[in-house]
Amino acid sequence: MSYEDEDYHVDSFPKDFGYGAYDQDGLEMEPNSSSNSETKPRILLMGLRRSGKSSIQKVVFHKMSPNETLFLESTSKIVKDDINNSSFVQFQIWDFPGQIDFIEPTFDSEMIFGGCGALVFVIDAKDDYNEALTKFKNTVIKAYKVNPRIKFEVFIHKVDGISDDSKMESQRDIHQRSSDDLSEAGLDQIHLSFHLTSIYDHSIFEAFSKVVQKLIPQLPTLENLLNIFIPNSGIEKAFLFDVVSKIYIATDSSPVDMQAYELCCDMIDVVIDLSSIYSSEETAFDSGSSSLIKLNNNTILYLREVNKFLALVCLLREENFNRQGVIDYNFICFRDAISEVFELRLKRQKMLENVDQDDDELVDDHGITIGCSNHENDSTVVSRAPKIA
Amino acid sequence: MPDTLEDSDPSTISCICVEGHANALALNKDHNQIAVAGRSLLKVYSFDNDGFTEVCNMRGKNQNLSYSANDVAWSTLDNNILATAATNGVVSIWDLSKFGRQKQSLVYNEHERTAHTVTFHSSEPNILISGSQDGTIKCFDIRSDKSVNTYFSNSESVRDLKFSPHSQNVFSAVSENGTVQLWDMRKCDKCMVQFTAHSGPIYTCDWHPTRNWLATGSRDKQIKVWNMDGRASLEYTIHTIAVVSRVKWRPERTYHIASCALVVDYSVHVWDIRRPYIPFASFNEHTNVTTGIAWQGSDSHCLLSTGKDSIIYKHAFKDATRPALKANAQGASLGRNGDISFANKIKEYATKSSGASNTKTTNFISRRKSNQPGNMQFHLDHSKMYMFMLKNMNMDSGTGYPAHDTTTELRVHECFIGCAKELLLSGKKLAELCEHNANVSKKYGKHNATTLWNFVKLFYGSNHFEPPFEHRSSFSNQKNPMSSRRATQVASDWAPHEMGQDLNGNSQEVAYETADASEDGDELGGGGKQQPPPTSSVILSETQIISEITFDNFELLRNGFIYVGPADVTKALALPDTALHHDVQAARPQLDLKASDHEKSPPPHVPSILKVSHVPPIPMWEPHQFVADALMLQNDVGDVQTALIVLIVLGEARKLLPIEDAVVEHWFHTYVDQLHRYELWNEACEVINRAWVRSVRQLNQHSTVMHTNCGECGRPLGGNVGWYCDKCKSMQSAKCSVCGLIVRGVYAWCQGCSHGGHIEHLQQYFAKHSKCPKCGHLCSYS
Repeated sequence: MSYEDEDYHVDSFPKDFGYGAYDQDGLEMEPNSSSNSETKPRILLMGLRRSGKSSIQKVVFHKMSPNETLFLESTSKIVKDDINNSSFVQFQIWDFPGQIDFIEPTFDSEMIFGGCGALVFVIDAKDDYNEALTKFKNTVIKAYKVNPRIKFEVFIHKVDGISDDSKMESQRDIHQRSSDDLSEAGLDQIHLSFHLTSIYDHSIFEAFSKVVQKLIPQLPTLENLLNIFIPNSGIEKAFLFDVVSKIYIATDSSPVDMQAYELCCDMIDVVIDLSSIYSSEETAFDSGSSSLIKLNNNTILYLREVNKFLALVCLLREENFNRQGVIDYNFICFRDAISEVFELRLKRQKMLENVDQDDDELVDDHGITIGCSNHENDSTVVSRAPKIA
Repeated sequence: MPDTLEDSDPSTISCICVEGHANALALNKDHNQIAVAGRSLLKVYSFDNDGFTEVCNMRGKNQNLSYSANDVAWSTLDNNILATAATNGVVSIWDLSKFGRQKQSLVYNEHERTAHTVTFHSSEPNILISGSQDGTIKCFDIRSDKSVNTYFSNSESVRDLKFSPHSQNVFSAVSENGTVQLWDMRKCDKCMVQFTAHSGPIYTCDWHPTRNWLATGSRDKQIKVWNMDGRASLEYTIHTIAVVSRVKWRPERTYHIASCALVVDYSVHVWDIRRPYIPFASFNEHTNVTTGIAWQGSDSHCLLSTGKDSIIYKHAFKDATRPALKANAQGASLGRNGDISFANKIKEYATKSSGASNTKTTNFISRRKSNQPGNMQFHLDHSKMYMFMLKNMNMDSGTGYPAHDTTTELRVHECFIGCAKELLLSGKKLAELCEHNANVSKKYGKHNATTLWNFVKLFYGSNHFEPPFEHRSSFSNQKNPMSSRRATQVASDWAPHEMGQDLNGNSQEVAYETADASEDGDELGGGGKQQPPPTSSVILSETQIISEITFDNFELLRNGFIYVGPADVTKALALPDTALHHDVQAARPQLDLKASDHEKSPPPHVPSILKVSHVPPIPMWEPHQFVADALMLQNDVGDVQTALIVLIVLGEARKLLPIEDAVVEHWFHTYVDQLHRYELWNEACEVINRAWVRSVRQLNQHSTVMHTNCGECGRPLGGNVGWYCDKCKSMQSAKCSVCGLIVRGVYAWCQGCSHGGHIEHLQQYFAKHSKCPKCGHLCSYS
């Protein structure tokens, strides 16, 4: 069985899908661009058949409406979905067919799990999950042997149909049993994250946000930038959104309120839909994009474009918006700081390529080193810290 | 210990701190100073009964990020030592005895991400722990400038930490993935206990001061109290209206806990955990979200709180609002079958007289009562619930209310389906058809239809369209037409009136027996169903002495016409006795709003004595009109099935019936539509084929195109030649995919993968397999 998609070439993506100032020019110049696809962090979607893997992928990354997912045919081979060409978040999603057997020898676990950043295991909460747990255990053990750095995420899916109490109960049960299984196998150091999800509300977006955030080495820096930006601008809560998927790749450290997140998601939809009606060009979202929505509870939703794929959505109280100029100034500082973060990353990448071109192991350390260096770099970012509102 | 009897404490006082939002507050060990921390704020106030005075402002001109505090903690032993956790992950130690910038005596910059919480050990003055967004918990000793221990919680973010007051090395950590962990300070490799407590992020926890209970508050809007003895078990759950951001047990009260919300709700609520739906007391002073709460030491009457409105409040408990007093403590609801349930709060002191109330309730037919022993405590507020049911006194008579048993609806459907399948439309002589159909109708309990079929058989079964009377009665032949006609007239006079009462219109129980006044009367007597009048009672309230009220199930026997009334109680109120009728209306006005519409017509003359002053001219006998009226009536009572099938069966004879074509067409459409709804495609098709109305016949000519695909290449078969595929030039798809032979006759195929074959082969195949024999597609064979 071949899992390689023959048609798949990274450099075949059209240029204009690039990433603006932070375009991966350096990467595309790379001589071995085919191996590049292997280096991108990979998110594997696994689970029993009919558990909703493809639906999740379609709803989150392809804007399919949840009702349409009823008509999805079952996946018969591994579907590789490259997210980096259309959005800020750079990774691949591999959607596995439910009936795939990991135990059979033809299954190339080295290849599959080797470059994998996160494994999302989807469990249908409405179904009997004994079989799913067994399969999950086997998958985790196998994957952990190949790549101990994999992050294991369990989506307890389709919880829209069950009551709050049984949600809680199944989460506890699944948590308990899977960690028991793993400690029996002597792998109790593995950390599992559990998310209750449903495609009919925003929980799937939040869960996927959490998964993706773990793969972004710059997350602490982004979070810190937001933490600085927010109090100085009198903002209550801010999300840095990936516009296409409505995943938030960073937020400040205050607790995420689900309603606030839903409002922000909906705002992005409104902005994109409206601007695609009136925009003359193909892109509905560009550097001029910004939007302001006043809610009737003295709250304001404020959206600004950060770059082609990122938007900052802020929730603030109406009286704090009197000083919009300061907020805008602070925002520009924030945007510049973000671009510095990614310029630094590009520099670092280029430098590393030049220094150790044939070091294969480097691939995985990449992210980590970059993450740390950025963090150290906080001081430079902070020095540009915004004005106080 | 009634809380209302508080000593004369000072009332609520407030203090405005002007600089920015407060995120947290902490009290020193003597409970006379308060530290408030926020985004750009770190101040210490001392307070007494008169108000707050600022002691210290640690926020200088220095705009260091380490000042933007998420949490603040005061050393449990030293009044000069404070700790803050900052949004950039810095944990700072402040020494109030020093001056200027020296106050910030230590800075631990070890957390990679935001530090959410910091807390001091309860007995060791130098030890503190902090929890961070990066999922780590760090333990610091203020004698050293590095962390002593790091605990990896294996979660996204640690939101709150609290030392257990019961065992000094144990602390609890709650995290955003909904788990609670217990750690032993000395073991940093693995937590002692871990369990999932909430289905959302947990934002706060607090240990009970005396019992081994841990309260957790979460984004799922619940506060849960866990008994931590042995394996953690859930003791109580409180449902709040908003995301819980802080919880704090009330000192000296075992069951009281204070909470504040993250969004929406700005109040501080004090709950009695035994009464989880309404707060015991609320403080509503804050005008923005409350972020920090603390009880003043062991004083259970003084609560300090701060919030994003930048105000510190010192609440006196006597000023709290008691939401329970404003709540409406009564409730009543009507059940589907007319049952009434009623719950009310029992006044204090009234509970001892439960014996007396029992004497009052002897009239009750059925009653459930939950009555807890009298007690003035908040959580034991007691209430009674009554349930009144309509009771049928004549249950033993076996009739009851048809509408009350839930099977009636079902039976109607079964009856329809059964009739649709078994009623014959053609193929035999009219008389035989009628007889067969009459039996079918009888089988399904449609006695009126049975009668109608018999009638049709009598009238039209023989070749001549004259009623073939059997001369069994003493009436002369000449009189028969007249009495029959009278019956017809009465029937048509009565039809609209009675049917007007039958508001739901489709009750199959409505039997309108068209019994002939003379000869057919005794013959049909068995067909008419007489229902003994059942009585029922309703009782409204305890205080009223309730008389039993009798509802007659509607029953009329007039002129040989038996009307079995609609079974619904509210509609069966039309009682013959108008006086009683009004009584009923007065007694239960909310139930029988329609009753006033039910005017009773005087019973028609009983035809046993026919007084004729002068003989009218003998009118012509019009059997066709009569049958037509009967059919219309059938249709009106919701049985278009019988009406239409009679018409079809009559064949050419139907032309004699004075029914408009438009009406017939309407019947056809209605019946076909009904059949389609029951998925009786074959029956519908047969009816359509028998139709003589053009627009109905055309129904079968709509949407007859079936698109087929080639099983080989998957392209649509466009050609005119059956199964021949133009693309791959083959007839492969004409072959059965099981036996490989070319299919003649019925070809069954899957619309998903375009493979198919002999229906019987596929039937056998799919009994054992689930996938397509050719391509492995998951076909569903049904």
